[in-house]
Amino acid sequence: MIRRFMFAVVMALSLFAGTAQAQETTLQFYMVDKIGTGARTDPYRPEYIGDMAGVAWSAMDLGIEPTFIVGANLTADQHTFVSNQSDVFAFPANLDAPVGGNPALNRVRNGLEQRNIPGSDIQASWTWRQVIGRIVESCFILQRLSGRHQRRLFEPGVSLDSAPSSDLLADLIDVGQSFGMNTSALSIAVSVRENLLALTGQVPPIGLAGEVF
Amino acid sequence: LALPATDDFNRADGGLGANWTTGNGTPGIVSNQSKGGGSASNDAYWSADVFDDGQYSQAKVYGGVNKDCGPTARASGTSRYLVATQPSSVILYRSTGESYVQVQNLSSSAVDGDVIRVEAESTTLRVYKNAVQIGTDAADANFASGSAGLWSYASNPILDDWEGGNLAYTPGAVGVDRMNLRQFPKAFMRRKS
Repeated sequence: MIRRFMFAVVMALSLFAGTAQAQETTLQFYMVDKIGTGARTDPYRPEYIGDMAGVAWSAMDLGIEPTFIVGANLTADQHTFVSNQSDVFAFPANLDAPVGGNPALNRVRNGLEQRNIPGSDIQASWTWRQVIGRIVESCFILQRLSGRHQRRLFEPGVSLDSAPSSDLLADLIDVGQSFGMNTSALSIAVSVRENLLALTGQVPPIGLAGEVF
Repeated sequence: LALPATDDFNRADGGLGANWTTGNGTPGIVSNQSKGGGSASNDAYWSADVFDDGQYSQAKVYGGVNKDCGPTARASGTSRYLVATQPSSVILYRSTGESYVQVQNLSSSAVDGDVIRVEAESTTLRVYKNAVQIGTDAADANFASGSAGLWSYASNPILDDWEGGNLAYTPGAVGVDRMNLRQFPKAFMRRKS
């Protein structure tokens, strides 16, 4: 309730300020929850940002999983509001800076892993662009899984570290083949994580919100 | 028939005709324009030709304050990428039946007679208004193929002068606009782990 109230306050202030003068916006990237029921009046959209009137944004969802990676042009006030939410991972404006050591490293590793995106192998020397690259690559694979097989990867009982069922593996192989990828490394003898990484490692550069990952 | 396909809907009121396949609702023709008859999505795709995966779809949008319509790409069955053009917003959706996922908010507006175009090239989506791209390239990997078409919501929006065809140029790397591909390949090779 408090978050909704604060959101309304930020929106009202943004609209008021917008009438006085156009505020400068900056492109920022966020990993947020997917909200909505999918109905026309309540579509699936990125939480917070998807409800900001007049904000330009571009996003990829993690297939049917409840996560969006979104690039949005926000004012400083809007960015502060979004990045202060406990369920939002806000990326630094300089995407080519390294992640660095802890606490940033642990935070980003945990942030991805909690959303079933492989993150435990992220190193301090990785740039934030590489981290977002891992997310969009995962979105890329899971979207095609959703589009071709109308299924989510992380059904109940499935985690990054569990072994894939034979039918899930068959669908992942089909997804890889639909992109012309080499799927010889995919196997029920290795974890979902390793199978997913075998595919995401072959995803070509992806453009999102004007940046390339 | 040969692509590009065009339809000005200048014929008798009723269905869209044999060149079209209905995806959802009851798209039709009223007073020489395309107008839906159902209370939710009314959409159809051109099925007289087979489209490449790289394709475009465009149409003029009407409906005044009740405008809520646009072109669709890679339509198949009840699924499609669609541009919902309203007076004060233009939003790119991925949609199946009456389930909608927002892919991109273009922070734009539209007036009657604007030509809205959507392009699908590999996993890159682009939206244009009056031949000028609005927003940046969007990325979505769900729908790999299908046909160009049109969409409107409920019975007030109107579409006219539709055109659909294949993109003339050869697709570049998956999900990357060609300009970025030229600018970034070496940087990408360094970054990619």
